[in-house]
Amino acid sequence: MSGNQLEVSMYRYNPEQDKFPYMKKYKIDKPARDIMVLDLLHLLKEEDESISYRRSCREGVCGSDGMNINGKNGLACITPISSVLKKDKIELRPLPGLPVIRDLVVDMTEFYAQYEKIKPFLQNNTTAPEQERLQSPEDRDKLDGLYECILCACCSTSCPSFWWNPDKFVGPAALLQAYRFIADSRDLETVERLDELSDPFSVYRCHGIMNCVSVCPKGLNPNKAIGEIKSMLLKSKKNIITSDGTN
Amino acid sequence: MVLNLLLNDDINASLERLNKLNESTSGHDTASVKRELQECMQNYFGVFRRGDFMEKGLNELSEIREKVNNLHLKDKSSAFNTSRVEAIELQNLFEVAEATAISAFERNESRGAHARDDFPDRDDKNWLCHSFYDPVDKKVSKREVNFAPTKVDAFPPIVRTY
Repeated sequence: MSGNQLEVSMYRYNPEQDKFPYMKKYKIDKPARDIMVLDLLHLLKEEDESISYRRSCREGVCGSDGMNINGKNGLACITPISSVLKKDKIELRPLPGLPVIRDLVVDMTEFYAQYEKIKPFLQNNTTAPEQERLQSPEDRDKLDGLYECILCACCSTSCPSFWWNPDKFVGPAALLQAYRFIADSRDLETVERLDELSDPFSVYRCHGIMNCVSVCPKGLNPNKAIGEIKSMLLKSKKNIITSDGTN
Repeated sequence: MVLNLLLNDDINASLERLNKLNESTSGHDTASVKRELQECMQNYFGVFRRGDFMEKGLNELSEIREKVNNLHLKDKSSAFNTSRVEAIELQNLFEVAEATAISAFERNESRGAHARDDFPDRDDKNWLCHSFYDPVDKKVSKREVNFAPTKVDAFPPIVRTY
């Protein structure tokens, strides 16, 4: 192939036309400067408007354009092509493990169902003070590295445990949020929250594979949060040994 | 895909707009018209504005209007069709661009982010008002600014405790 072109291989599937998904190759002139993968997608969509992908803020804040770029999940909008190109080639696939609606767009229902399960809202049934529930700077610091999650699903869809049991294993994204509320000094349902995670699947299907940590576009560490939840469960003696002897 | 037309005029207009895209067999391509609109607005209605420049821009906008009204939607699929969304977005974007352009052209003064080389001074006598744009006859009228006095008491300095 000529030296001034890039080859983009893209997962294509339109349920109205295609019986099976297929990879389609596109050639495009090398851009003059280093652009993001999302910019590359825009350029391709100008040529072939049938390409579908989600995007919104184009700056890594909304979490819409999570996709599998050369085998690794990430946000297209904050991934420079220079960081992923391999021999002038780039392969784009939808997030693995979730049903594909079309091209790079996946059905996030299962992912959101897990998020809903952990009750991602502050629970505190004491009378609310006149102005606001206060928190010490030290307690507030405990939420750093937890609250920044944008729910792009890059972590959960890179997790083999989530691929295997997306209905029972809560997954790294939602577990990070579960711990965000467990760690919050203003939330008083800590015991109940832990209780709901104490079955063999919700947390204990995490085997520390750490794909979640390696792909998180916001640099968060769901594995650490899961570790905290596990040790809290152990301390509260809610731990159980699963039927196959693992936990 | 042709949707049934309802009696309500507004709904009819919306459905006609949608159906026109869905049935289009030829016309202009969304991505290139969008680029044209971006370039026009950047060149003629950017940070520093000038009457004669904006006049050129308005002429260009009326050419783009023709294209925006005759977009060709190649992808007619109803499965997560982002092309259709982008075509409709471009049409909406055009309305906003035109409102911005005509309002900027009419306002013969400089105020805040509206900086005109040919009218460098602020003109409170004629332009201390809101611009009110009517998309039907494309005219700008003036609307008074509410100058009713408001008063916010200062926060008393106190010790910060938790």
